[in-house]
Amino acid sequence: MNFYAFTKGMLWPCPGSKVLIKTMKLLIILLTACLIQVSASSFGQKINLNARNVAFKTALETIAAQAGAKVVYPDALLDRTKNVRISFTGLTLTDALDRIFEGQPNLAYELKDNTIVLKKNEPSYIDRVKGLAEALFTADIDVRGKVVDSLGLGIPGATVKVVGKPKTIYTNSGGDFTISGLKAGEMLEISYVGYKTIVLPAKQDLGIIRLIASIGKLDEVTVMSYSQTTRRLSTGSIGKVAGEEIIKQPVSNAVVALQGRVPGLFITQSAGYAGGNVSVTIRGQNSLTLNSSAPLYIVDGVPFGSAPVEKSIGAFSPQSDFSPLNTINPAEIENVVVLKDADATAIYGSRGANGVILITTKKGRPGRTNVAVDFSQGFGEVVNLVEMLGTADYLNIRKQAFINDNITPTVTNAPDLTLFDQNAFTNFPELLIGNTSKQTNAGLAISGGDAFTQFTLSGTFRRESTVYYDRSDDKATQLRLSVQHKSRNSRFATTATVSYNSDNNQIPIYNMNLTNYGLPPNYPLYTPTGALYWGPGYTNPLAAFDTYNNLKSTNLNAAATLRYTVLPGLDIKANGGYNLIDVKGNMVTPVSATNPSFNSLPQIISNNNYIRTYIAEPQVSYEFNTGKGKLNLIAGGTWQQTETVQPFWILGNYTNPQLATNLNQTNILAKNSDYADFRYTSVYGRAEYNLSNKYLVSANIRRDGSTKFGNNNRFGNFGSAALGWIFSKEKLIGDNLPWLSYGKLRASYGTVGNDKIRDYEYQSNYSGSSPYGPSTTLTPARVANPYLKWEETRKLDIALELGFLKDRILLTAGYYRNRSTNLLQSVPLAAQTGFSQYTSNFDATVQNKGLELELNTINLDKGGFRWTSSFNITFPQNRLVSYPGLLTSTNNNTYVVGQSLNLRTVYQSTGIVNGIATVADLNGDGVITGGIFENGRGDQYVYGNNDPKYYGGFNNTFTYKGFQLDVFLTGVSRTATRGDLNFGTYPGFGYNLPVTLADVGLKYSTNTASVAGSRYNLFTGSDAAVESASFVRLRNVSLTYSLPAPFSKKIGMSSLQIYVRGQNLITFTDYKGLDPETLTTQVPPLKMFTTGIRATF
Amino acid sequence: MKNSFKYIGQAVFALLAFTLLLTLGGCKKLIENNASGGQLLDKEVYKDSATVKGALAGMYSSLITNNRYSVLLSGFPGYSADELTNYNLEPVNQFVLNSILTTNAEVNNNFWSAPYSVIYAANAVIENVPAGSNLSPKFQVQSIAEARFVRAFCYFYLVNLFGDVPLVTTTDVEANKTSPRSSVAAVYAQITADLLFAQANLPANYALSAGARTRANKWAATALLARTYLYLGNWTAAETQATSLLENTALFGLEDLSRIFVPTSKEAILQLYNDASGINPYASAMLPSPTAPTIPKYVFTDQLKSAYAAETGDGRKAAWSVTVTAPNAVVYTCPAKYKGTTAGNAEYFTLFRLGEQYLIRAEARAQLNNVTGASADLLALRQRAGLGATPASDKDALLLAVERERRIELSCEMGHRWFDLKRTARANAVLGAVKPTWKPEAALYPIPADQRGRNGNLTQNPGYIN
Repeated sequence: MNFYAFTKGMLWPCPGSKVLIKTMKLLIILLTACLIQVSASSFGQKINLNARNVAFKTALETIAAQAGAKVVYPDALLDRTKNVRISFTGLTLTDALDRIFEGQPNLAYELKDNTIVLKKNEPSYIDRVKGLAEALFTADIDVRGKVVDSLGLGIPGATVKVVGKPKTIYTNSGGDFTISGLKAGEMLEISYVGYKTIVLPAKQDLGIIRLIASIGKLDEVTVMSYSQTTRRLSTGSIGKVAGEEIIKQPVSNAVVALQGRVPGLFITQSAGYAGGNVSVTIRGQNSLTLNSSAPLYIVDGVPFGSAPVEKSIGAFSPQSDFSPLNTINPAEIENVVVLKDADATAIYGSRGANGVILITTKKGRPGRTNVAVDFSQGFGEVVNLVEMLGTADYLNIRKQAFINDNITPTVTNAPDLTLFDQNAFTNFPELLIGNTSKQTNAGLAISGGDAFTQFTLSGTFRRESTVYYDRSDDKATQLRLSVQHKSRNSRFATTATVSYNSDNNQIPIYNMNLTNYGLPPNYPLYTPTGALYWGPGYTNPLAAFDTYNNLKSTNLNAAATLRYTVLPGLDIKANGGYNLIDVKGNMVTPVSATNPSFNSLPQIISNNNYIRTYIAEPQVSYEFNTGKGKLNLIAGGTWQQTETVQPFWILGNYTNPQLATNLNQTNILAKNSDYADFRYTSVYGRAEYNLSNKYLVSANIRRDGSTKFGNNNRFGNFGSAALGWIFSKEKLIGDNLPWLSYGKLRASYGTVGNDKIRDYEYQSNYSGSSPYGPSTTLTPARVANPYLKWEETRKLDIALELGFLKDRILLTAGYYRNRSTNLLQSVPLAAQTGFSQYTSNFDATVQNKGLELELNTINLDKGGFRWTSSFNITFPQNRLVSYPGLLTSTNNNTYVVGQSLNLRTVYQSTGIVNGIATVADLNGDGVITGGIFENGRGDQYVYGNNDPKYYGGFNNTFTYKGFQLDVFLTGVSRTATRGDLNFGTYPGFGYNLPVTLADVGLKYSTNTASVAGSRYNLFTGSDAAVESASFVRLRNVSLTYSLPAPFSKKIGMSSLQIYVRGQNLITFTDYKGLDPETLTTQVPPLKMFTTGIRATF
Repeated sequence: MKNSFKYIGQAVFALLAFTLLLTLGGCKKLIENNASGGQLLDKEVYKDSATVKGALAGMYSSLITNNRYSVLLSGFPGYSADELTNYNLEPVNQFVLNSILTTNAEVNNNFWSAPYSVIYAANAVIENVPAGSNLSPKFQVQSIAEARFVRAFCYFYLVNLFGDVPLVTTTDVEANKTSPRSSVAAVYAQITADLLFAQANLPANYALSAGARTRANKWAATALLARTYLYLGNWTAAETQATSLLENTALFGLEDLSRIFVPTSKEAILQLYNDASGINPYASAMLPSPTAPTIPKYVFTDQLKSAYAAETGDGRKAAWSVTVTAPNAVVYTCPAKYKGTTAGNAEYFTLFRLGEQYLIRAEARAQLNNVTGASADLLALRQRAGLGATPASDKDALLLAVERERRIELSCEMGHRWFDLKRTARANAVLGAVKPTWKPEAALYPIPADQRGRNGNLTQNPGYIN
């Protein structure tokens, strides 16, 4: 247990308040300075040694302590070291180590990420001959040892192989092994998934053999459906984003930070304020409704809803969509794993039909108790405000419009020309969303533990204000406790994680549009007395900010895992989890927020919604070694219950503003409550076979039951199979293509079910209706569809993975094809059934296919300078393969067979003739009618679709000494309707115009009923109004500087980092609207800058 | 060897554990969820009489939804016939011109779809009540009978408006969604069967609706049965049924013209409550606004105006019509059978009344050559209107006298005039003479194109494209 001795040595000698005060002082200094340029590095500090015959261990310890480095090695390694008699001053760490290792012929070291890894020196040729001779003449021995990880915990199932002999055994549950009949000096190769393979000579007692976690991307351990794998050995399609990559982005919603990181994962932010909803699809839209195409989110094993809770059931409020994912603390995320194909998602079955996003939070590590403090502050603003015309230009257009229409401007039809000041100017975009958003983040985390029990306790406070006129904000407080424990013999293990996050969002519902953004620039905001001015026919844009909007959400997530090893290789596991996400909303609309001429009463909408999920998952796994192969069997089950509840919803008038939210003081006009209960159960089996780490086979079979379906169709059977071939391990390839360090071909095919429809849709039921005289009434509300069954997606995935130059270049090229059938949809019914529609399996087929490319490279790794890049790009294609009866269905104006579900159908513009928009009469019937030409119904033809043609991300990381710089670009290629149309109307109408829209050449007119005005929709709905919405965005730049260890030590810290981060810094686009990502009138994602400091004690 | 035994043991253990999990997971109990909090499942509704009563009342409240069985079923067939006209609104004009497009939303929503949703509610009662555990046998039979009456009532209008219609008597959506149209005869057979069952099993008083005449009873079934037999040309049966109502003087009798539609009217056989506002929908829709007159939506045709004025002293003209001067200075005559435009439940919309039964029996008797009896029945109504006996003295003259009497007495009520012209095969002669756009195929409304899109088995009536 030398390792612990070392870490103990590094413990801060006088913990306590002194340190804290010191730290606080430092914090303040640093923050005032914002960013101090210090030119030093953690590995560049000077090492001093004055050793007069000290043990090698002590010398090493001293050097490591000065450098703030860790030392890792198998116990037995230092048995035969010679004492050190060297003194030096001012050497670099490498030089210092070289010096003390000079006298140790059997030892070598490796320096990686602040860790000194000791190893046995490679024996020379003579040594080897000597060893062989020794082996020949020595007797057989029984070798025993214990394989442990960096935490000193036994690794069960590690491979111990005798080099050059067909003898392989595996360690037991405690990591122990014994091999009999070996010659001393024979070499043993010890390997385990996610660790570097080590080779060491056999001897009777090898003691503790410590494996070093592999840091190569290929061998990172990845959680996949309750089990673990690595990229190298996985047969499925898995993407992974590390917590560090997420935390580098100053965004409140962790999912937003995944943008551009994983091929096949397409994310769009709906708005640039905290809590704004995000749309996420993995490999395209499988169902006809986008809503049922959302992936499954699992946080620490507990399913987590991604749809806004306040709109989950019952009556809705007009409140903006608040993304529940915003209540997950990005700083607490260890990593996010994205499971894409049938093989990877198989264990989640139907719930993961649209892919799975697994979020794992940070766990404590053994070692001394660690206190980390993180504080950052930042600001953000809207980069691109759509520029509107100035007063003079606007008024000229208006005057000309009146002349064109031959109408005299009057106080009623043209207040802007007659009533308002002709020289006044308000920049409405600047007024409404021109503020600076401020972001504050403060976090404290305490973690530590011993080899058997570890914990982490953390808390974060975050505040983020908006760029709106009223500077409203979102505040979040997040607390988390995670504990892990393992019995002495490692047979029993348990983990528990509880997090409680609360969020208080006061951001108003506010969209930019014609009536606020496009107001005449000379519109007066206030009356001479200072009250809000309501011009005839206009809305005062500031009135909406008098509304008090508040969503308070709390999210409690608790998860526990128990594991017991019954027999070596045979584990019993159980997961249990609970998630409660509760949202209380209040929207108070005082009289001042409404036009006084409406004589509105003060109004309140108050509601509460919550979603409660319980989950229990028993599992048995069995690992079986057969000579060169390893067979892994897992059988398990899932039981889940999700209750979606609206305890109350009311709409009423209040009298006393202070008691507006008190129901007692409210005259209730409308009320509602609702409840839905969903249960899900499944059993599954998975078999994985790994032959010599070369041939990989896996297969899944599962049976899912869901209460979304009636008794006869409740259960569905699904399965998948996958193959992997690491061909680089074949001798033929290994010998002939030495530059190919890794090559794998994998393929998977499988079926998954989807049950994403509302609850109870298979049952008929009654709801209360208007009374009949004195009697209350019940009328049928829904027709039973006992035939409702699982939607099915067949997923095919093929990928080639290649590694070149010792895996410095890793390339993955993948092809996927998902085909969904039995689509669950609201299907129109003939009225003779009593209803106009019901939820049914629709006999259409939707296909998503695509190509995903991912390239990870280490471009430079020399002299302490390291430059790594990762690039990914996805080419998706969505297609409606078949839709029987489309032409006679109500969807004949929405879909075309053979095209994407997200069609863009437009008129064919024939130009603007004399100021009037004209389009082609495609079907030649003499009139221009809406409807899809391809479906034989009108003059709008299929121009393309709203899907991205391709999208991707490109990240570069540069590290040099204590500096780390990340530069991250994302890009999307697609088209959209001209973005400036969102903020303008027909030129000459009583609203302002974006500058870009003023010169289209339309004849000015004061009303949309004029010849020119009535044809405006032929312009906006034509191909002339489609533009490129492609963009490349400098999504993130992050610069981190770690102060040299001696310096941080002096001020009482074990490490100290300062950082500057920038988000959405530059966007390259031709799009004319606010933002090519959102494409809407919502406030766009902000350009953010934050600076912060992170210290550990 | 020892090792492989160990492995086998482990494999068996793993297999056992897996089997155990399978049994657990496959257990249906694990996925039985709680019922929805917002709505009531069928099986819950049919457990107790209180909720079944709610479901029965729900059928009637569906009938009054959107004024379908009051205003619309009186007004629109009135346009199609020679009773009413209108001067402005486009989709309505199609009725006046007897050239309804297959895309007409009024036809689709109000005349085709709405009755089928009521029929679904009735079928649900008929299917589920027999299994209701806490229901008394008497209540069960009575509830089924009431539902069968409502079903027959809906089919009666469907078959008379559209001809052949799908005959749906279950709630099975998969079976019903593609059912084709059944013949008029089959639909009538179902109507007759339903009504006979209702007549036999419903109470002979108004106890169900606590004295108000707002729920179907034996007499409502009898009234519709009499009408059905008349439409089928079964004169004897029609006479018998009408007679049983007319002879029940304890419950029924003719009222003064001003009291026919009030809630306490003895002439009423079945009425519908007003909606929660207590305003009579017919009155508020048909009566022109006295404060801000515009061109009314429902206007008497010249034919109806002259029919009302044909006999001097006919009190019905003054009682049931009203004139209004629109801003364009034109004087319009509008139906004024109901007058309760303010809250207070002054009148209930009346589906069946004794006056019609006199006319049914008069017609049946005339057909059976009972001249005296027919004249006497006509006289009862004519006297109330302030007129003397009809001069008609033989069968043919009497039949024409009955037709004239029906057009005035039942004018602008529940489509009577439209159906009379069609069933007596007089439509071509009467309407052809006054409507230049008349064509014989217009006697049946089109099957809505929307429905034919949803159910490919629905054929179209002759004379309509698509």
